[in-house]
Amino acid sequence: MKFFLKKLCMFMLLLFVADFAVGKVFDVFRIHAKGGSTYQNEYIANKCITDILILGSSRASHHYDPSVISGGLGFSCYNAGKDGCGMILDYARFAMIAERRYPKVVICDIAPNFDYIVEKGKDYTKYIGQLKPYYEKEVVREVMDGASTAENNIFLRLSHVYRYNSRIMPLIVDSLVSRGNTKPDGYLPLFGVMETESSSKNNGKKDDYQIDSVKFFFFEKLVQECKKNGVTLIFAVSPIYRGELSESYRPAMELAQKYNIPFWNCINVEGISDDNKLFQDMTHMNKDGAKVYSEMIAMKLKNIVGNQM
Amino acid sequence: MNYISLKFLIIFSGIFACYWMLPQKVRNFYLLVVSYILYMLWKPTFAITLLLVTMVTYLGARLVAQIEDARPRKLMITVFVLFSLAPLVLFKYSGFINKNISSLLARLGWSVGMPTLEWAVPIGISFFTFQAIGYLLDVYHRRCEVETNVVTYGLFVSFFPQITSGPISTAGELMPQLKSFREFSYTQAVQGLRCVLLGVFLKTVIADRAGIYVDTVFDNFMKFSGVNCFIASVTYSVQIYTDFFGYSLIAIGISKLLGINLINNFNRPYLADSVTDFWRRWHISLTRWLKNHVYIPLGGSRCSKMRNYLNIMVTFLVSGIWHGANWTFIVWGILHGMCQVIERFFGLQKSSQNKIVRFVRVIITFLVVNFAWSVFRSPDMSTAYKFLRQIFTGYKGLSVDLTGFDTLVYMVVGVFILLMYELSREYKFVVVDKILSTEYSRFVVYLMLVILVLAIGVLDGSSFIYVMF
Repeated sequence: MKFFLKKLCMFMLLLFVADFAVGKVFDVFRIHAKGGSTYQNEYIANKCITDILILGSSRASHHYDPSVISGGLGFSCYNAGKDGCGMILDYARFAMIAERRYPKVVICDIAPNFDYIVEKGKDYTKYIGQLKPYYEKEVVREVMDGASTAENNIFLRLSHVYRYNSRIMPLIVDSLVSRGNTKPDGYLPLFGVMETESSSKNNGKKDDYQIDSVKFFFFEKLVQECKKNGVTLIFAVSPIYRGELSESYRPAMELAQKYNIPFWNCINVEGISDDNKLFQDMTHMNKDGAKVYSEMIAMKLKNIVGNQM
Repeated sequence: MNYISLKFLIIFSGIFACYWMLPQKVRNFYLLVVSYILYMLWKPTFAITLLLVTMVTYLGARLVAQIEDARPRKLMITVFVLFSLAPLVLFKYSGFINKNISSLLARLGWSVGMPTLEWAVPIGISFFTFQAIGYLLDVYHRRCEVETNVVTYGLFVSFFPQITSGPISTAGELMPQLKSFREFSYTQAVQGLRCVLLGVFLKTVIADRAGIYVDTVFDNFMKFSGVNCFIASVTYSVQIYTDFFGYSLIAIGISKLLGINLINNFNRPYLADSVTDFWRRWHISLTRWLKNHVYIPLGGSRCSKMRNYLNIMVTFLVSGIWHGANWTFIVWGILHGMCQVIERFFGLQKSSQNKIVRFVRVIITFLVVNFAWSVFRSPDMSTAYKFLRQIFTGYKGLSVDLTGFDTLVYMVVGVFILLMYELSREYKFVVVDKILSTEYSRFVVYLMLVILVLAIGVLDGSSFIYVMF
């Protein structure tokens, strides 16, 4: 039995060493990524310094052209929107950028499903998966403590390799090739055109919903951090084709009211929301639509924050 | 309790330490208490059913053993077997029976609603019921001695590594081990850890990865091409094998760490060259149970050909019913029965010595088993039919949707390692044994497997498929 336990301890020790070494190799791949999501995550976590920060889901990443917004204002702008992600990731990204310097303005494109509504299964894996390689950062540990299981957090604490769980393929590919059409400013333009005109109203969101306490916690925390540090925070709802604001936006509107945050309802803008040529699908604008909308945002920003900046 | 969790690792470390520190005479009682506590963690009331089946079969065996006359002995065994089966039928099959009767009566214009207990099915009830009944029948047929020690017998039925998903042990192989002196063996413990590691690898790296893709396609198969549906069906075949094999290995490994050897439940089933051969390699403990307690009592192969075919069909009908209360399981069982009857009719149940013929037969057998798994996985026969039809007719210019393909890439890494391991065992690749001959090289392989589990395993606590049986 003693011999068995001795061998077991020796194996565990070797495992820790191997795990640490392989984890460090993955760190090198991550730091030297040439493109893709690995490059973007690394840039946001360790390099990004910006005056205007865009946060949100795919509607953020496809709708806000930083070159248009910053060109109109003369300040730097970075689009940190991420497909299928919401406030849990948004808060972490904001906090990691703020470690270097707080942005002057943060625009959150609201997507109720991802930002504060309970989703089936209540699984936050897709939100926190991007953050695992940065577990050594305090803000990431804070998010993981709130959004992940205790067991998962123990694995993250003990294993360097586990921080790259399910991310090996993009990690290796992104370190070898510069892939994806994400621009250096984070903006991901869409090029398709929605061919068919539709007469139906579209709000894209269900009216019967339940608030997810974990998501809402980070939503409110983002607001509080911005308020505490003098960051001008704006909630925006970018255009949806023939869209109308549904009941599910109410929690965001109430939060905006509570903290005195501007709420820009642009879901149905004349000249944009009724023009199918500016959309790739019902809820995502293409490059042309994004340009028109971004010009509108730049104008609104100039009116609100021009003097402060 | 999920065996692939840090929680179980910590708990089992404690169980292991206490077990080997205790004197031999209390170890069985200790394991019995631990087994019941772990079982009750699923739901405390489940233990009532487990206790009931245990006591009925314990008393039944003791009574039957005392009766010498054939007729009363047969009557007694029939009564006790039916009593032992009652909870299984009540919990697992009453809903299915009710639904079908109600459906039939509804066609006659009668409306009947009866309460069911499907929602309260105790975990592993099919496994521990068959294990207990197997013991009862072995005593009846005088294949083993009756066990008078209630602690030993209680442990035989409830032994925690195997209670939820097998293997189904016989009294002849497990009881002597429970009654004998168990000394800690370094070799056995290392084998145990190796089995656990391999089991965790199969489950997290292959089965759970495959499951992500399978669920994506199966839940929405009409939106995918025939090629995608076929890939999903093959992936499901991989998933169910590695899930069940992985669990079995973990159960075997944990048992070895406690000084007990369980039967190996799988023997490279997808390298079978006939469906008959497949069932000698797949879920070996269940096949053995069905052979000993259904097939042979019906006459086995020692009868006319037609009677033999009937015996095979009945056996696999029982197998299908055992797996679940749904027509899909019954049809799946019947399909396997039919394939074996056809093989016997054409003399194909015997292996060929010709390598090319054997290779072709392995591929065909896999395809047949694969399509049967698609029926097995479907929620109902209508969906099974539509899914299989989609495979054959859903060609969108042979297009392949790449949704979920990244998860398949991770799975392929695991499948490649498994394939190399299985082929080396099947065809006795000496080079693999040479590579694993030194302790140093074995350590390296074990480290690689753990690193792979950490890097590409699904570690979010998903459950095993066969737990639902």
